Amino acid sequence: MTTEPGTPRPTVERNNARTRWLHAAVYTTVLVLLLTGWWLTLGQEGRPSPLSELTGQSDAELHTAIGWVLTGVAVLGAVAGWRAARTLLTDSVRFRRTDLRWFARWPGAVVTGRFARHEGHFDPGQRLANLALIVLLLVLIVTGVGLWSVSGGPAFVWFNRLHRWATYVFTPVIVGHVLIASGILPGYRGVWRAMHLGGRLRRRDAQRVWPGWLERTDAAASAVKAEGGDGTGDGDEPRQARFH
Amino acid sequence: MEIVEPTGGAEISVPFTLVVDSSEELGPTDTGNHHVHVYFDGDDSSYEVIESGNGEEHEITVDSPAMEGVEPGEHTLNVSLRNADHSAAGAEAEVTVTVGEEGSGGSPSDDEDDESEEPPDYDY
Repeated sequence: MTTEPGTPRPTVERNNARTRWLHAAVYTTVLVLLLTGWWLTLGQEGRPSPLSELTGQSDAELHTAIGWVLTGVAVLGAVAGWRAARTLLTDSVRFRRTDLRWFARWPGAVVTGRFARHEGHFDPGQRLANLALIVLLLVLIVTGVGLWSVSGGPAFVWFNRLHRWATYVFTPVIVGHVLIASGILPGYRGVWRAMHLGGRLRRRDAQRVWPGWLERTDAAASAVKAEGGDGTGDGDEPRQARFH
Repeated sequence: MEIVEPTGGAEISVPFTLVVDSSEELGPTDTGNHHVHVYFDGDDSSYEVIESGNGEEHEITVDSPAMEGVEPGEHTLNVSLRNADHSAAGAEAEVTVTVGEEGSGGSPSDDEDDESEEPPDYDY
């Protein structure tokens, strides 16, 4: 498909490759941890799960090992991508009074796609989910390291209690996130492309879900073009276009 | 840690009674106490978890994960003391036992009873 010079491409890059790889590493490890963790919680310890049979490791060993991988990924992401991590946090805690209208229309918009306008890099619901996931992942990682470090005893009881309750809250949040991000709900159709494959989604999907972000991205791309760039949006959309 | 029952060289039939004695207090993971993994022939990929009592009787049935793949014949019965986080606590014990045919020592099965019964009469 060719694009006329100066015409915006029909898709827009939402997330760069580094972000997508980090997201993939987190969701792969989290998926394994949820499967092995729930397997053990549901009283299946000693009976190898399909994952355990596949790897030859017991579910408890697998859970611990992958827990360390997730810890490493989280530390690496926070250190190597500290700027992106800071942006994720600041964009997620920024709420406006007008976001209330977005929440009010959300239940219907999930089906119709007619979301109320918001200016955020993330939509208001996504911001709440981001905050919940960040806090819960942090609790799960810290308590997981705690469980490993004490092995047993009174401190283990408390780490275990926190780890379990964080999992009980984390699981439905993740299920909701997957339900929305998968695009099964009509209002969110097509958004899965933002974090997979090339990280580019159709402009009409971006316009529907993240209108303010798309406008800022287009404006910044035009500015680049005016300064001598090609401005076609082919990898030059500024990803740091934010609202203040 | 010690296996009190079955004793070394014993012939066992499934289900069988297991009694272990440990210096540590045993309990479920959420108590922070130790527990015991029971398995055969050093293969701890499938195991039974003992979470209560020292010197208490535990019945290992045919449905136990520890019995997975265990054929009749001579086997090593292993027990391993575990920390609450499932890591090895160091203490282990084993005995050699001969596992008999499945159910050979158990109570007569319902199926056997069924075979001895007359088929029901139906009036059409």
